[in-house]
Amino acid sequence: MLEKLNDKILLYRLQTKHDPGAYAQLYDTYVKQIYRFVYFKVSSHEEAEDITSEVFLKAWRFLQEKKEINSFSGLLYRIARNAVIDLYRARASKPESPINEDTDVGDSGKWYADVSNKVDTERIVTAIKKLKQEYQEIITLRYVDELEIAEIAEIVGKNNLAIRVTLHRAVGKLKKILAEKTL
Amino acid sequence: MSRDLIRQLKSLKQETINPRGDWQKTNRELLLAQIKNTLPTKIVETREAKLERFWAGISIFLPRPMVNNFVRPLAVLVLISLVATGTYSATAKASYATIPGDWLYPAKRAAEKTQGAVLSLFGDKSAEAQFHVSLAQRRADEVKAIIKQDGPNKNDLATVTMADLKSELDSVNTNLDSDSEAVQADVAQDIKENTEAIKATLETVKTQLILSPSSTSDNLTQAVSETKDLAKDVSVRAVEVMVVKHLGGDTTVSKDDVTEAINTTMTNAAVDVLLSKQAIDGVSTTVGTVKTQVAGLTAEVGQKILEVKQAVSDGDLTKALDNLKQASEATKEAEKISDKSVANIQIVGTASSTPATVSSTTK
Repeated sequence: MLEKLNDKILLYRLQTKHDPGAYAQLYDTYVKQIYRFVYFKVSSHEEAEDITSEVFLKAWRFLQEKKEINSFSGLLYRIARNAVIDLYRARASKPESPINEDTDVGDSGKWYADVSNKVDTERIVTAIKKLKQEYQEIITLRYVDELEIAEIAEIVGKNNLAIRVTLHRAVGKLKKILAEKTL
Repeated sequence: MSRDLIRQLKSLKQETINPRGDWQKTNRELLLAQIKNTLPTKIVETREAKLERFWAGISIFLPRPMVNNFVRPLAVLVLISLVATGTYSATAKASYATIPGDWLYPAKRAAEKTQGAVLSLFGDKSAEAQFHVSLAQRRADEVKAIIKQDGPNKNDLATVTMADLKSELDSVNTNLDSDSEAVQADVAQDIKENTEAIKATLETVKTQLILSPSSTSDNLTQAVSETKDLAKDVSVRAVEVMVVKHLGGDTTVSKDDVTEAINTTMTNAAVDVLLSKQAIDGVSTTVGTVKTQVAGLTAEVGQKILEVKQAVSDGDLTKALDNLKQASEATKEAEKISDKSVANIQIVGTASSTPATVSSTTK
């Protein structure tokens, strides 16, 4: 709640006083979250960084157009989501680098080599990668980035009930995958 | 299982999945440089922009749809109401000291009518009676102010205002007569005190008119006398309501208050009749029959005063009230005779006529 209020105050400073410092603070608050959100969907750190950078620039342009926004984080996630979709489309148009299930989340397992000492984490990341895109997205938004259901609904353009149902199914599927791996 | 899974999912938000620190810093600087280039060099803030800024500030604490659909329209309504009420109050206040003939006087009357309409909606007869008596007091003050002025149509304005005053006193009388059950004793006491003040104001007006007679002042003087009589009636009626209410168990006034009201009214009646007598005695040309009539009425009032005092000391308020009514009637009669005589003397004096004409008109 306080975070949201702080966001609103920063946006007010930004829209009324054109204070770049306010945008810098918003960047500091959300850059890690947006990076993580993107990173799970792309194949490398570089792509995640490029898209994250693009997201903040697009968000700035959106604010410059004086468009009304309810939630700044929601806006960032929406832009990030669309940027990733654009990336997938661009890849799809190049037959030599098709998107496959193993590469659409994270960087093909490179990143979790850094956390190899955490066996559980490795297991979970592998399991998440096996989930379909919709489930991956909702699970990471809800449990990794710890967003509220309403925020997720706003980002993915669905109602709260649909998000809850999808989340329930996604967790069920993830459990099933983990159970199969254990066996 | 689910709890463990969720805990493990949350643990993914560790340092290893975060962006590189140097990239984060470089990208921040690059982003700020880019956005600074897009900022306007000079910001000219219009009134609309300031207003939008205000609403944007409100939206920090309230949801934007609520601000747009509820708070803003409500604020506009409140603002309009405040401006309207403020304007109305300011006009009414500015017009309060106006007198007939002033350009803001209609605003004063309009405000009074609105006030009267609101009071009649509530159906509080006591409040209505008090309101009408306060309006009567205002009209009396206005007549006094008009008479003091120099103007070609001051008597016309005074006559119209006097008619309004009479109308207000009639309204008070109606309240005291038909709705006396609804009027409390303390309200009657208030009405009595106000009508005494009106009477005193009208006496001043009458003296002024007599001292500076004009071709159109006769009717006005007569109207003043009639209204003064009406004020006396209202005063006596108010005392009667006080007595009846007090005897009926109304505790809003004490017995002392009622006694004092009777004594004051009686004393005023005595003063009135003495003034009438002095006026007659001061006119050397007045015929003896007139002097005898006034002297007789003066004696009658004197007798009634004694009877009232006796009745009051016996605690018989009803009898005291009856005597008070009779004394009031005698006073009115004496004043009429006195006014008529004095007016005739003035007419004769103005026309330089003979005393014989005077005696013939006073018969």
